[in-house]
Amino acid sequence: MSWSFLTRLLDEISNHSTFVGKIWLTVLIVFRIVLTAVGGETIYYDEQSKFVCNTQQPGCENVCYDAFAPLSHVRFWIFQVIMITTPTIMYLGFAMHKIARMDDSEYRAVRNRKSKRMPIVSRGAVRDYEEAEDNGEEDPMIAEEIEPEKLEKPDKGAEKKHDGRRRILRDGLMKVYVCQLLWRSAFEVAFLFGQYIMYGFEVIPSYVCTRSPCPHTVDCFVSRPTEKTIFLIIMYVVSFMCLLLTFLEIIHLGIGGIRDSFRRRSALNARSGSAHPTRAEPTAPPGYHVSMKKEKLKRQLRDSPMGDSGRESFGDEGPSSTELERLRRHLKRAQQHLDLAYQIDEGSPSRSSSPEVNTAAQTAAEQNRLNFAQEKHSETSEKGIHA
Amino acid sequence: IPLTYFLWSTDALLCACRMSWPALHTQLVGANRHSTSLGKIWLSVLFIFRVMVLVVAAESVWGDEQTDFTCNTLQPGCENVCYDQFFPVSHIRLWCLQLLFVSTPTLLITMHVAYRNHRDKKRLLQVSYKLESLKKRKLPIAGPLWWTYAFSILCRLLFEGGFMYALYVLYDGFRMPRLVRCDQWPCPNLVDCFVSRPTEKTIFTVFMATASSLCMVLNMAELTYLIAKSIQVSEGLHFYRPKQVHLML
Repeated sequence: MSWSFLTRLLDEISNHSTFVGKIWLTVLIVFRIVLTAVGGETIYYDEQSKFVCNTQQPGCENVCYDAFAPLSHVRFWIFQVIMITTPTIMYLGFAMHKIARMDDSEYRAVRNRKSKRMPIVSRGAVRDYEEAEDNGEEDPMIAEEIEPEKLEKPDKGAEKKHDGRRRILRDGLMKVYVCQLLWRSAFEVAFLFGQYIMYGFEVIPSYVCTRSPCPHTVDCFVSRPTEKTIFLIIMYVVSFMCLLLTFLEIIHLGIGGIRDSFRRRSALNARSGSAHPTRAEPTAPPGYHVSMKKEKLKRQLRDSPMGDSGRESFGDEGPSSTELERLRRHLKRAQQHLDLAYQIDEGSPSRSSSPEVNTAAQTAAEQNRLNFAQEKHSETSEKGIHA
Repeated sequence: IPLTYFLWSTDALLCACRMSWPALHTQLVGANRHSTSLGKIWLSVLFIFRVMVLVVAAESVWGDEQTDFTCNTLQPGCENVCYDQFFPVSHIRLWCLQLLFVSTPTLLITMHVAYRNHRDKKRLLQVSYKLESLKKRKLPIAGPLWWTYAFSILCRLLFEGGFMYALYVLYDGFRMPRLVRCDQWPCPNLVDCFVSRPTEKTIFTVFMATASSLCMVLNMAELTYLIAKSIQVSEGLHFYRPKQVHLML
């Protein structure tokens, strides 16, 4: 149970990482956790029973073993693995929290539009999580309630090609992700340094001990010193590799961010003159949310190239209470409903006049009606319960 | 003597605890759906820093605590008696018990939610509404559920504090001594006895105590958050009749 819990959490994290992050996770799991669990068990199981001192004095071996190994290698590596995965797990919890907190109505309206050109629409992180939830896999930090909605295949196919970095940027989590990477590297360096201070690079076969009750200077002999030395060096190398991968990931994110800002700048220069047709029609229900969100995000991304959108979108939701949010949502839906009815009466084509959009709009209206009814009913039932 | 029998029985019970951590985990994850964010953080800290460390690391440190407990005497039986005098309940068993007791109040919440679902199911069956949404829906923490939740947090706090205090009193602090002196019969005189791996045990005791106090801090924060939120909700927004606190944070 013990290690499988951590490995399951880490599998979940791989859905929210970049490519380099996934490599880091694999190295971590395969080389460090498995090695520690398996190797530690077999090599170190007799470390105290076979620690023999050249004396008959009872208690001298206990005391000398304690002086030789205040903290055993295996326990040190276990602490190291736990500490190093902690920033990543906290990032996962925060990401889940943030995604679950994002406005549900916006998400639904945007999804119903079934667009392929907006990378904002397909929320890969949420989708992957929902898959995991359907498999019955739940973990304490990530068992959030996201209403499971089956998503279409073509969007998923297009999404898988995207880099995890884009997804992180889009979800506004870049700052937290980089922060988490920095913490991880700090812990890694600290533990490497601590390992060097405590254990050096070699396990000496014979240890000289002068603690009481040992009667004089006593020679004590360590069990399997060469095997332990080899293992120690392997773990050093693996830690360095993980540290290197973390630095690589930071560099990769930095280069990607710079490249994105250059691309965006050239794109903006190219079509600075074209007007947005959606702006003229603020009442087209499927186009409205998407265009507004696009504008907002463009503005945000223009301000801060590394994607400060995380902070801003977080701040947007802070002040409003949930009750006001619900009212706002109701009003929005009512407006959509009205506009839709108006459009159908007029018979005028909307901006994207494909039949699937109209049916999508109709299903949206249907869903809105159902949601109204559901909310009303739940309210009355709640009132009934509290009465 | 009756104390040792009691301890032996709890020891046997807790041998099974090694195999039942996954079962406990499943139960708690189910209750996790209805917790606040602080509750979720608490649960992760509990599992990662306490249960995992206990099962993976601490049990191997205390594994040879009796076999490697050596006394400076040839008198048979002296070691057994001295070990028993200084270690009435092993740290591992105390921590196991602590974790079990601390996790059980969460089950109260699960039971309450199940009771509510059962009651609502009957009512909704009459309206023939969507039943699958019943299981998946997240109940707001309001009314009687709020009281159950607050009571469970209080219980958790009490158990944590109680067990930490018991450990502190039993072992005179969080340090494991290297040498203990014992003159219980049949030891012939005052005998020096040596504990195995005292430094490592001290490190682990301090670590577990820190994790436990972190959990207590999280619980207290959660309790104050709940109280503050409910006061705020009952004061403002009176005209919407919202006796509910939607903790979908």
